[in-house]
Amino acid sequence: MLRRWGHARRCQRRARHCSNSVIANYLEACAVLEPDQPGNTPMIAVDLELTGLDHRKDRIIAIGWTLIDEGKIRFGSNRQVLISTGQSVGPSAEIHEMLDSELAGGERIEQGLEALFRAGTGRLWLFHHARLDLASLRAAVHAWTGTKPGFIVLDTLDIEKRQRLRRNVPPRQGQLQLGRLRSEYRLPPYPGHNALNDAIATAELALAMAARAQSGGALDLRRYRRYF
Amino acid sequence: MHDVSLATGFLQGFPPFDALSPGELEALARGLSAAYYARDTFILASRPPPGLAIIRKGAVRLVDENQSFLDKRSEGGLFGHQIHFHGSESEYRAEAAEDSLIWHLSQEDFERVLADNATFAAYFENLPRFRVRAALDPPGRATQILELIHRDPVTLQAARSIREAARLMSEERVSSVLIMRGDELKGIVTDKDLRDRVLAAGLDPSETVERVMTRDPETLACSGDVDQALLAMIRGNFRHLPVMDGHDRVTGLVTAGDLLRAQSEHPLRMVSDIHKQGSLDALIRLSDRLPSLFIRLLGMGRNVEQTERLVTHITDAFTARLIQLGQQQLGPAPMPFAWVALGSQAREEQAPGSDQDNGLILAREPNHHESEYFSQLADFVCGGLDQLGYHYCPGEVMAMNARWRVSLRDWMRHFDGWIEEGDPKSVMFCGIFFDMRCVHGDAQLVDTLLDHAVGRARDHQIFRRFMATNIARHRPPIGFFRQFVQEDDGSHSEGLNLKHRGMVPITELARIRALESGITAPNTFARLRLAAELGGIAEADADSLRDALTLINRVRLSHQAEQLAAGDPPGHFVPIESLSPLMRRNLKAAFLLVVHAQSALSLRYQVR
Repeated sequence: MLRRWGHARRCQRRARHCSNSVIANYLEACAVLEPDQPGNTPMIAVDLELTGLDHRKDRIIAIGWTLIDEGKIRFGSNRQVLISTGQSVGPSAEIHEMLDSELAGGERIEQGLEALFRAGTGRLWLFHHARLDLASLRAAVHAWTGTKPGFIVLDTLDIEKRQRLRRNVPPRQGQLQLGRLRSEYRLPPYPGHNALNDAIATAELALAMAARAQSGGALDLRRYRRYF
Repeated sequence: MHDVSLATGFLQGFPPFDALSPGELEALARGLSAAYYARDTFILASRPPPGLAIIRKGAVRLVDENQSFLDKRSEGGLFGHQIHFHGSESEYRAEAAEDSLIWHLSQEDFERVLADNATFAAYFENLPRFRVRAALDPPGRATQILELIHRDPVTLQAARSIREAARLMSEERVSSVLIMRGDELKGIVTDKDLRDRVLAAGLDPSETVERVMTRDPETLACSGDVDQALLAMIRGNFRHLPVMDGHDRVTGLVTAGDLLRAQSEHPLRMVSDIHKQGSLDALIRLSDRLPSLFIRLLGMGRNVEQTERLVTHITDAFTARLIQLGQQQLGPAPMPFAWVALGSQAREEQAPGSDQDNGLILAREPNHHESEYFSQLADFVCGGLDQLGYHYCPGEVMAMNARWRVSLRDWMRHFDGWIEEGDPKSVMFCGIFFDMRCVHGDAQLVDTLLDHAVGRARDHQIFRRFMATNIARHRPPIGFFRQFVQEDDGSHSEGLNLKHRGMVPITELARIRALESGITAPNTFARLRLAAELGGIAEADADSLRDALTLINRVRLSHQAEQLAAGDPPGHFVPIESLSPLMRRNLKAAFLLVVHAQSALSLRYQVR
């Protein structure tokens, strides 16, 4: 309760000070969002492709997302934005050089972020392994607008981990990988290493978790949502 | 970029979606939504019209208002539209029979597609025909009725007796006979008629056959295709249909069994056919079917691992049958032996158009006479394989080469020598011969040899270091600036060599990891899995390599399917322009995974 209140206050304050209208709108909506059941909470499933595992140094090269409304993934909302890193936030020139040729033809990071945050306004953000992606997004938005956005997040990896810990079967390494979990939930294999496919894969996994949970009590988002 | 390729990729093979243009299909896919239903939960009711639902994964039960079972549908199945159960349309409810992922198209969008595309709409009016189409047609060509006719029709004049008809059917081993008057078809008598109209009715078998025949049977024109035959059979509930030529004369007969066989050009059927052939010539005739079989296999969109395994099964079957035929000529072998497959055949990772790689392990040292026997056998089998399209190995790694046709003890010496020497050539030989699998004969010999050789390699760190050095030679086609590096060797001016720069490095990585852990299995997926289980490689790295191999292979196989369909020999070069931007990115990601795994290995063995 307190966390939510503090998070909402923080979002409102930042919205007031943010000169970028997309991020300001996003933050205002984030402040009033109250997710409870998966069936009536609008969500956005997101996956990033990064050049590495260090958000301070590595950059985003692709963003994929899809929207979930009323418990259904809308294929028409699927988006994948390839980011060209030639002209963008921050220094770290050595990486540009390597990627320039590869990513010529992609969009600027600002365009990608703008589209993403427009789509994600008023939504619960869904990730599989949220931490790294969130850190990268926050750093990128901060570099772009000077504001650090807040998020209300559902993390399918975190849900599964906590459910297993609760059943006293701590997961072993690799067991919580997206593909592995999907096959346990009897979802089809998708070609991975693609931001959009992974976002859709995460969205489907979340719906599967919600449906499974429903047979034995609803998946209570109040228990699993996280404020960042 | 709005990307619905996950959806279109799944739908494009299925009727009725195959009737849509790429643009129409993409528009349809954008209207889809996906939901997940736990087992036994309600999905939808057929009234009011809920649109169209597609089972992406799982299974769905359709029940009527009294919860009575109507039908069960599985992956790829459709529901939501009007369905005729037992001939009449009825309302129904759909429930998840298993945990299911369902794609849903709204009624509004569904109706729009129905209005825009007549072929798509026809599917929902006239389902069986399309089912048949889907099952029978390899894309683009329908089997013609004439192709189903294997023999002249069995006929009898109408004035003959029922007993004569029965005797004729028994002699000719057919289940029906055509009844003629002169040249004119009058009727047909089937097994079932003999049972129902003669035996059960207590009719005297010396009566004329005319009394029990079905008069003026429905016939087929020989110009038709299999669809028409099947439709006629379903419509009239027939199992036998006479086929007429352009001048109204009988040319043959098609049975329900013929149709069944026509649609089952399945690899496993090919395998059983191979075992039935009694001569090399017959096998060669059978091998004419390979290209079309491969096109089908590759087009079926099965997973890559399975496709390659089926291709390998067929090679194994040809090899085993040739060995049997050879032994029929030469007499039984003078001692136990094992015919081994090497390289991709051993790994069960064969692609269409592969050369042969094989060897012979003899249980003991052969005398001059025995040596001659195996030499002739090997010549026969290798020569036969060459004629079947598995061409001679340019490096002469074949059982017909005396060096690779030796006793178990000599094989062990071969391996010991390579492992001790560790020069480039030895390492190359190890790369070939560690991938070994018994195709015919005494598998124990192969197990003994591999246990010995893998054990030595595991204990020999220096040797493995040589192998690691060798691995560093096959770099994925990614340049310093992460651009694709294309090949240029004269004949293929441009393109990515997916085999040598994608698959070979992964195979090599898996092999060395397998040797570290003492794994003798040759299959790359199995090696990676086992190595991960034994802790020889991080699970995540094993998964990455498996994914990379699958992806690279899928690109290669679909490219080869196109080449085969165009009548070209399948190759390993894929022109970059033929890849979609998304696929290029995916491929690049896969290659990068290989680069990472290679660097990790180089670091471990301190190779530079």
